[in-house]
Amino acid sequence: MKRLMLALSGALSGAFTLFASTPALALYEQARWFTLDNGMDVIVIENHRAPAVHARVVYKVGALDEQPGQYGIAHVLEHMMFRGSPAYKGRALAPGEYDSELGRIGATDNASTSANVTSYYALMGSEHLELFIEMNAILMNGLNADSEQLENEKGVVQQEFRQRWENNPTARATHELRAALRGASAYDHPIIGFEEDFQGLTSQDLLDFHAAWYQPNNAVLIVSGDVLPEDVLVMVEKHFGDFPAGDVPARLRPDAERPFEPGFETVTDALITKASARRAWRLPEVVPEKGPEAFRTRYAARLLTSMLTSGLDAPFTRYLQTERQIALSAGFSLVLDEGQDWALLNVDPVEGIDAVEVLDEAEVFLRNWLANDLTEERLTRQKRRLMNGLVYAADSVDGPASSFESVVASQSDYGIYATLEDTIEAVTLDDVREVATLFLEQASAPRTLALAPLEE
Amino acid sequence: MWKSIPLVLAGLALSPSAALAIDIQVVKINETVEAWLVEDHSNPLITLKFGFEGGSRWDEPGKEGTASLAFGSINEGAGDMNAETFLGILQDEAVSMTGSAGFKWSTVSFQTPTASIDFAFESLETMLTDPAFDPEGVERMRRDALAGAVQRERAPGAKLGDAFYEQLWGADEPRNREFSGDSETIPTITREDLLTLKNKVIGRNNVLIAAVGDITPDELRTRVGAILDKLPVVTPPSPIDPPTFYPFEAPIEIDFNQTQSIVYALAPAFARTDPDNYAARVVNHILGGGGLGSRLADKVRNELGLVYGIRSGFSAGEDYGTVSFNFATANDATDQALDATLEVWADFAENGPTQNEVDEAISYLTGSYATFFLNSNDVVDYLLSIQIQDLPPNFPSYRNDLFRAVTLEDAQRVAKRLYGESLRFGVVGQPTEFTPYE
Repeated sequence: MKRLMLALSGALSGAFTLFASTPALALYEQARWFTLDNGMDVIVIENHRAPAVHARVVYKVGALDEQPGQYGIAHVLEHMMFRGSPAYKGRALAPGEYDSELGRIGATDNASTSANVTSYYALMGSEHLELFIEMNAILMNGLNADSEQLENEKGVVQQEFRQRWENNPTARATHELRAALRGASAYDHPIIGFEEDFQGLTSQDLLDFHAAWYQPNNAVLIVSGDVLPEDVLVMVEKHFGDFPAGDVPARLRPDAERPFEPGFETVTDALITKASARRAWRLPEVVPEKGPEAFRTRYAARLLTSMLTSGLDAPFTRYLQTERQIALSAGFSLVLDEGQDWALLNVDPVEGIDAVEVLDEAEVFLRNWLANDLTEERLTRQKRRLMNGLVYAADSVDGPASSFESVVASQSDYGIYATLEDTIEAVTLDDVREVATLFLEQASAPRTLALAPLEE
Repeated sequence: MWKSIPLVLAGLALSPSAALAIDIQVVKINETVEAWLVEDHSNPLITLKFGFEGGSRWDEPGKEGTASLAFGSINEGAGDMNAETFLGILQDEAVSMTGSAGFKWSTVSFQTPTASIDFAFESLETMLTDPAFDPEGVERMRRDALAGAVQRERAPGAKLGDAFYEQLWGADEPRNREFSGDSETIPTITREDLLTLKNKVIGRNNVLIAAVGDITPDELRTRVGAILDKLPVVTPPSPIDPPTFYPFEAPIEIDFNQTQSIVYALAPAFARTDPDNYAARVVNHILGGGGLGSRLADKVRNELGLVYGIRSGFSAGEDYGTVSFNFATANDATDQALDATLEVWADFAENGPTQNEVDEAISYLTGSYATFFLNSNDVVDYLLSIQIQDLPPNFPSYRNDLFRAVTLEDAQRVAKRLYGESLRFGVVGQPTEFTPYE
């Protein structure tokens, strides 16, 4: 964390700016981050438009860190964190007390588990931030994992499993497509896990998982809103500063173990309310996973997507929606993240038109456009739109906290937002052509997924 | 690193924020129209929202969806610019203008970076006075509307809702018409219909205005005044009766092949003008409005583990209100979850909340006010909604006092009043048993 010293001295002097820029980026210039001695990171984004803060404690552990036979444990643990914790610094939490304490002050709180991170967050009046921080330190210290409470919570998770997975054919089919693209068993299970796995979890399993991952050097506190960085630091040091750093397990993000299987699948189900189709290609991993080059390449890919699809005057929109009138929307993206890289084309057809036919036509157009029609003018216009739109990021008290969580999830450098404008400016037409060529020349054979409502 | 921090800690205090940072200025635009402004120059962004009285209630029978399509297409070209050109230049400048129709009120939202202010207000004037309803753009919006309608027709929750409200208010109730239109009505709407609707709704004498951001009262008056001068005088809408609530002979049951049943129940309640409005919000929070710590969640989610979520609602309009609850549970647990819910419901009607529950609910409802205003759109939405409710501009300064005035006695009386009404029930799924009246 080399930026640390600069960022912190900025917080101290109030005079430091990372770079000269338009006011649009004022928000991200105000982001400050620092690391406690025990390795816990703290990010603060000041915004004084309303007397409120959004705070989140993010642990770098998620469904991808689970062992076979325990799929779903990260999520069950997230639920059980609300069911009581032993005393830390003289204060324990009874089951439900975390929620009711936050409720009493008018906060709205929740937690979520994703593939890469588990986070606990709340939106509250800014004078209450310390309560949130204090209670999250108690959660970091431990949980009761009472076995009777655990059995009840499994019932709740079972219902969530039905809602999110069992009765959601779209979620199941798209997850399967993604798992095929990634091609490693670590990515095969859903975040919510498998019923037989989460039903079999014991209190000890949860305590072990918590002990391994819920450590200060595996956690990031993000606060966005009406606070001063130095005030947050004092609170964090007081409540989290005494935790010792621990050994955190290595995170496994294996490369593909299986070849990508091209193919075609249609899922028809009464629970699908609208027809759609998507087609995916695996790409060779030629982009570095981290660093400024990776970020620039990702922005080149993002600019390529928005040159193609953003706005009524974008070529894809103009062709599929206005001229041919066969699609309600269409998208194309190049996912160049950690692990597998892939390309995804998706369409929502106009009612009554076959989704796969639309997909085929979109692909022909796409290939031709990528090969022949990438222009400097379109790129410049798209960059300008992206820049002009940045003023909206500073309009939100809570939005930046989520943006920074995604940075944590992708294990990128916190500084990427501070240099966003430079990164966007630096993308050349050649960069964009390079990612287009990656798709045109090196993509695998595709796999197609069509989702169709069951017509009565 | 940490070692250097104490330098700045002298005199540490949390940012003072007891007072709500929403200071509404009333800006007289002309003889009859006021705009409510929260002036804030901290970010170079200006946000406006116009509310026009009128909307879907004026859709012609057989042409349901007209107002929705008209306001959805309001930015599909302006003056002599077609949709692609107009939306393209707005996007270049990061300016946004959109419309949305409601039953009684329709809105136009507007946002611009300060740097584009001249261009943005000129474009807004052209759009409001001379929307192009570019046929190509309207057709695209129509295809979207049709897809949405067909999707609704397939969704289990919407199927239940349609059948439920038809039984509740009767098929003739205007509020039961499909405001977004359906697959039969949407194709019949013409460009002429859109223009007629727009001319009925967008006027200078039926408009409320909310503004926030980087603009002074004088500049707001000048720029908005110039636009209003160009709008026509329209006929204000006549009053409309509240709906009649009919009893149910039997629950509404919609068969749908899924492993969960979605249960919905509702009873009539009073309107927001009732003196018990604030007490009602307090008791609903305690029963099931307050998320994971409510009476219903405590029992049905936390103790029995039968649902992932359960909520109760108190909804109060201008002239009627409702109380309701909903949850999703396993098909074979439907009656068990329902019985548990009704037991909590009946006990709450009978005995009401405790003093501690009332204190905590008031603490939540007042404390959460600070989190209402997280971005400019939140602020203009709120300013417009309190204008529509006919509340004064200093309402935010005493809104929390209205909650603090609620006593235990009020809460117990209102719990009886609200939850003693007989519930109507509906379910969608394949419940093994669903017997709410036994």
